[in-house]
Amino acid sequence: MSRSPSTGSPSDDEVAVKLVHTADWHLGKRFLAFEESDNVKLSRARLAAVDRILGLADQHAADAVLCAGDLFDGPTPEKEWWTGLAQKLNSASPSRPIFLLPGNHDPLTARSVYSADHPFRAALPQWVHVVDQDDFEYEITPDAVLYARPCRSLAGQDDLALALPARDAEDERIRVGMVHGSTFDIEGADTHFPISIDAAKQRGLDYLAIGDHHGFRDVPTGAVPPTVYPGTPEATKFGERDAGHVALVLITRRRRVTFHKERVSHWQWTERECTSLNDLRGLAHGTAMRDQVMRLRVRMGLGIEELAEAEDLLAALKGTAASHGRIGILDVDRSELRLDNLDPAKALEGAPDVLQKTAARLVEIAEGMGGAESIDPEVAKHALLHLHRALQELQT
Amino acid sequence: MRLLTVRATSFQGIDKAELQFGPGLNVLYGPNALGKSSLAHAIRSALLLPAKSRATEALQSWHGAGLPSVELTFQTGPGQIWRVSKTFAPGSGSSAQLEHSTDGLSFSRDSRGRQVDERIRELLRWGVKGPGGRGGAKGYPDAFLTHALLAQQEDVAQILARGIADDSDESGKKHLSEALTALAQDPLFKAVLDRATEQQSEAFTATGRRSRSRTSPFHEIHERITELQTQRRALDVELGDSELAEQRIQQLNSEKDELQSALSEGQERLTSVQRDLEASAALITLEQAVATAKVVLTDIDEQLQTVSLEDKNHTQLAGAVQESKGTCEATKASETAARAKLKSAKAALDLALNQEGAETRARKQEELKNQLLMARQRHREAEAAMKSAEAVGELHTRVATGESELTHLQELIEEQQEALKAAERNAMAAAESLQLAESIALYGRLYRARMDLSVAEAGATAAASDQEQATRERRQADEIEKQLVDLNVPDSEALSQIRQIRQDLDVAEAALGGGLSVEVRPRSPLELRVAPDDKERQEFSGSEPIDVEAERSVSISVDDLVDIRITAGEQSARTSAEALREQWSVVGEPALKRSGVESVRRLGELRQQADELERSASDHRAKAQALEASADQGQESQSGIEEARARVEQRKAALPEGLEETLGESFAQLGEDWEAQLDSLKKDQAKADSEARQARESATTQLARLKTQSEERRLQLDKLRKELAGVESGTSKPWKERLEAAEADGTKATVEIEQLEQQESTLSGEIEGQEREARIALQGAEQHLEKESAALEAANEHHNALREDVAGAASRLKTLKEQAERLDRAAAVKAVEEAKQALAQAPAPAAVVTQQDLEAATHKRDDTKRMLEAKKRELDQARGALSQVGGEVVRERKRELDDALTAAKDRGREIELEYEGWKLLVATLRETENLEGAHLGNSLGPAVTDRFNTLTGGRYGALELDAHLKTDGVHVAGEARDFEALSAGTRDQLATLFRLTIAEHLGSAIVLDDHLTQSDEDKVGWFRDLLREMSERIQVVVLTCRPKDYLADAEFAGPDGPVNDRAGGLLKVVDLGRVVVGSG
Repeated sequence: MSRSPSTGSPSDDEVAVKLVHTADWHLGKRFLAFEESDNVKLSRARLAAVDRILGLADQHAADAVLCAGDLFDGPTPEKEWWTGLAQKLNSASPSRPIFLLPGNHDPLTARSVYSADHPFRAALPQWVHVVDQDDFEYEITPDAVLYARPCRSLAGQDDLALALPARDAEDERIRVGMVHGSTFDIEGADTHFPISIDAAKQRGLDYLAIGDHHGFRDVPTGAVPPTVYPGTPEATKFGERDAGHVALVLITRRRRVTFHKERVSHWQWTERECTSLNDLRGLAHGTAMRDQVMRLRVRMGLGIEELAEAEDLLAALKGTAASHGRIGILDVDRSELRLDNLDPAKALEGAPDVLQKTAARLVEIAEGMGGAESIDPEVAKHALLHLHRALQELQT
Repeated sequence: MRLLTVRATSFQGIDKAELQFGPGLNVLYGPNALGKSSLAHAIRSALLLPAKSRATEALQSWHGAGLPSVELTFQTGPGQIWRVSKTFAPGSGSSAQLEHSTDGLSFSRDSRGRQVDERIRELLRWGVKGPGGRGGAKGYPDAFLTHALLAQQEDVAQILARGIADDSDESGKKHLSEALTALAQDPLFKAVLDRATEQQSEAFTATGRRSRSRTSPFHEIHERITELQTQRRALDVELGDSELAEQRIQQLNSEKDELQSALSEGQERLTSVQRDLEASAALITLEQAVATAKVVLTDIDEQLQTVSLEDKNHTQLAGAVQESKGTCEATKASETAARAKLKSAKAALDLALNQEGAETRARKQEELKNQLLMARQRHREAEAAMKSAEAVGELHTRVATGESELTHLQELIEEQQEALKAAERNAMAAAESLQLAESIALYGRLYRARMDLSVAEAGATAAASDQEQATRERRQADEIEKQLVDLNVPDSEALSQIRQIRQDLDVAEAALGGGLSVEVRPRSPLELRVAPDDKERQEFSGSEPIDVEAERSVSISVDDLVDIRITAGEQSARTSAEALREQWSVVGEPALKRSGVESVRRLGELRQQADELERSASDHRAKAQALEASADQGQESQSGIEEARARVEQRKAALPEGLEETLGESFAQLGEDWEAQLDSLKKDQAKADSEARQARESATTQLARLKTQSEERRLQLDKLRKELAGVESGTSKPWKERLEAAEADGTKATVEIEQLEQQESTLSGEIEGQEREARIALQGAEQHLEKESAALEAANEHHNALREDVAGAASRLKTLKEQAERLDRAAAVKAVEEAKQALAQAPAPAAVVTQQDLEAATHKRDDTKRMLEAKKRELDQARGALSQVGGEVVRERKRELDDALTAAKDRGREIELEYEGWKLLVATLRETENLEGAHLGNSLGPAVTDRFNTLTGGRYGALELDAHLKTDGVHVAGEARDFEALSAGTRDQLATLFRLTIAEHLGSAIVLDDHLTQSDEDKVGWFRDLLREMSERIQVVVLTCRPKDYLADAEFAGPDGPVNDRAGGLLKVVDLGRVVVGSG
């Protein structure tokens, strides 16, 4: 995607400064709703994304990398996260300054990872600059200057963008701002470091790099000068639209700005629904989707044998301790996977009489009959399924 | 169940006996009356008879040597070894104790007293209801399995006479059913059941409860849910703080916006009132400006009119001078001609004197001369009359002109007087306005003084109000702090410590979990207080048995005698839990007690409440402080009130008397910016005053000038009139008639003169020549010259007078024109038009407003402004508070935790369904199996029948057993026969087979006390083989006086000792004669 608030597209020789704008890495984030193994995969992927971001900066010969806040999921991340990040930043190009901005998740406080006496700071190379001053200013090139202001608490009502210095009348340089907060159109913005609709214009900025929202968007769309959320490089949950990108920003000598959306994520988060066993079979026998985090809602009613097959298919999709699943990370919603067609005779054909009578009794319970109303019918259905599977296994 | 040891003392026929049992067949032999049945009875009593039972009377030593006592050791399963010790007595002296051991070496007490029997009956599951209470056994309990396994010698056949349905407790039937169905299972069914049971056992305890062990599938998810819930509770607190701070900000923002809006409205209202007041004042000013401009224009017009009149006068005078000049020149010419004529006449006379005939000529000439003189006299008289008449006419003209001029001047004077009056009025008005402005200024000073006073008084009132409010706030803060004291809740740090201790204690106690089941069987009515898991104590009274279920611990207080605490778990866990309990009792419980609550959660709520109260108290104190500061400032203004009052009085006194109200109204119209208005007004009025004064001076000067002119004109006119009156005195004819008569006389005299002169000329010519003519001509010339000279002199005189008048008029005209040139009438007209236009364009006030309206609007605006400022300060404080909370970050984490919790609960639900499914499957499998195998007779009958047929060589058919093992008879030759029809030996054999089969299915020990005494050797031998075969599976204790029925010679106890262990321990032979010390 390419978005240019100005007409035309700048040719390379006109470009005065190239920036890679990223935010919301949320290093150290835990995915509590997932199983521990999946949580680990998703957490690690966040640090791995930093490599792709720095690689993109190399590829485009960017002049600087702007990291607009929430780089850690909390102000005091575990050592493994800040050492891992410091290692990657140390391997980045020394000629390209990288700016780390404290956001509301990782605000600049006396004990945070960004505080001057934190070992993280000592581990950073000289080309990495932490925005630890309210009047932070850095000349990226003789023609381009960066102004930034950090979050100092988890919540706040200050408009950090409006706190940036205004353009002097004689100042013709490219001015880039960087803050972290909520734009006016986000619910609850007034207590979440609000950013005014025309903050960039008011402050005489040519580009306002912001972070917090996890999807790529410029706010308002097409505004000049642009105010851009690059989104998170790896999505953090289902439903985060346009997550997984950074912004590549080109600014010409005449201060015309173009910005592009560049994908850097490994994982693709998708939601899918299967309403028939055939759907599920198609998914299980289709192309493997090992880079997908999928929430699969299974909505169907099945007989005992079909349900057993469905569970086998789901196991194949998800993987087991011994085998990879066909889907990278699978979150199955079984709440609407029903056991219907409770006819045990067919399923237990040939079984001893006492087992058939047991199954018949379980069907009665599952259907709320036979004086066992206090028993959860779902438990009875599971008991039936267990019985069926146990017989299958024992008979084979 | 398997017997391990028995020791009996003073028990019926036994004085003392002690022996160990082997795991297989135990043959205990001895002669009759040795005490074999006493030993069997001792075993039975140890297991079944309460130590206090009346039936114990039968156990007394036959020789009265002490109380009977038995100690029996038995095993119910691997590592489940029990030792029961009883001393029997129907009254005092009895005792009972049950001990437990896992190794058979070290025992710990399990129960005492009546609980012992309860416990043993639970362990054995023989269908015996607990002692005491309704249905409880009195004496020896009567149950199917007690008969089957421990039947007394005389009761052996009873087993055939009763069924298991007669038992007072279901445990025996269940026990046997389980044993029988287990044997009857289909292999696939068993495999399914085993699989299901295995799965079930992963998650549930043997008693069907969910396992809390670390390997339980519930454990991990339970831990997970608990951890997430704990995290969420912590986040809830943080989120609560955040939402409070955010709501506070939203509320304050809303209030601020309302105040901002109210301020705008107040400002608009104030501006509107000010605008209306200014519009009113502007209209007055503009009206005054129009009037002033009109006065200026009128003045200019009057001055210009004066110039015009003067110009006209000057023009007229100049005309008169020109005319007079012409007259002078004509008169001069006439006089010059007359002089020339005289000179000519003199020359002619000189010529004539030299001629003859002088006398005649002289006479005639004299006559003619006389006539001519007379004619000439008449002519002169006519000319004089004509001149006189003309002079009179001229005088009349001049008088008329003078009167006209005087009238005009008079009109000018009147106009100028009017202008002067107007100027004086304007000056007076300006002076009055200026004076009024000064008075308004005085009023303004009074107003300011009053305002100062009002402010001071308001300040004082506000200070008093603030002080009262501050007092109220402090009182509220005190009350809240009193509430805080009453709450007596620990601070956050202490609460955190208490929470941590509680949490650690819960964790430690959870580690102790696993379940406890305590049964309390009071032997006599007791007051009991029972507290499972340290929960609320329940009180029990009486002797009814009590079942207590607990996870970790049970505390029991018996009357005031003893406090018992039973704790589950390993020693280290208990120690840890105990330490935490101690900590809890020192830190947590006193805190809960002090706060009057029962839970940490409630304490947390109290802490939250206390925090709220502290915040509220702090708010009240801050408000009080702010109010007191405000009150202090107000108090400072108290001292200014008197000064302000004095200033008010002083300034009031300075006001013109009786004008205060009027001045107040005028002042009110000036609006809030009254000082500037007043300064402006005063400047305008000073300017108007100056202009009015100038106009008055100008008018005065002009009037004086006009008056002077008028006086001059009047004097001239009077002179002319006098002159006219002089020349007209003595005649009544009008000068025109006289002029016409004089002209006629002149013309007549001229004709007469001309005739006489003709005659004289003729005469001269005729008589004496030219002398006479010359003389006449000379005389005529002299006379003409004289007349012309007089006329010339008069004309010159008149001309000079006119020239003086013209010079005077020109001088005045010049002065006036110079003045007029300085006047700008167009500007004045324009000023008037502009003033009128400005007046017309000036906006009319939208409403009639007063100064009070202005003051009210100002007060309202200022009040709103103050409230807004206060609100902004509150908002700043709230914003500061916002930076201390988690905000969106906490909200996000809460959402994530909620999702995680939902996922964990879903997972928990899946696990629950999974394992509850297994559990239900197990239960249903067993239920179905039981239904299928509930007919115990069907299960057990064939086994008994098979052995009985073998024993009897097929003589008997199937043993008829009902579902409850009640024997209906036995088939003999295809017919059912009652047992009574069988021989005693056969009945004995059948009963023994039945008992052995039951013991075999139960895997239990069986005691056979001198059975088969009426069987033949073959049958006994068959039984011996059967017992040896069965001894590989169950323990059989045979008490017999005929050891040869069971033993080979080599198997008897030898000289080395009374006990002979053989067959790898499966056969144990005991010579009771050497073990039992008989009472005898």
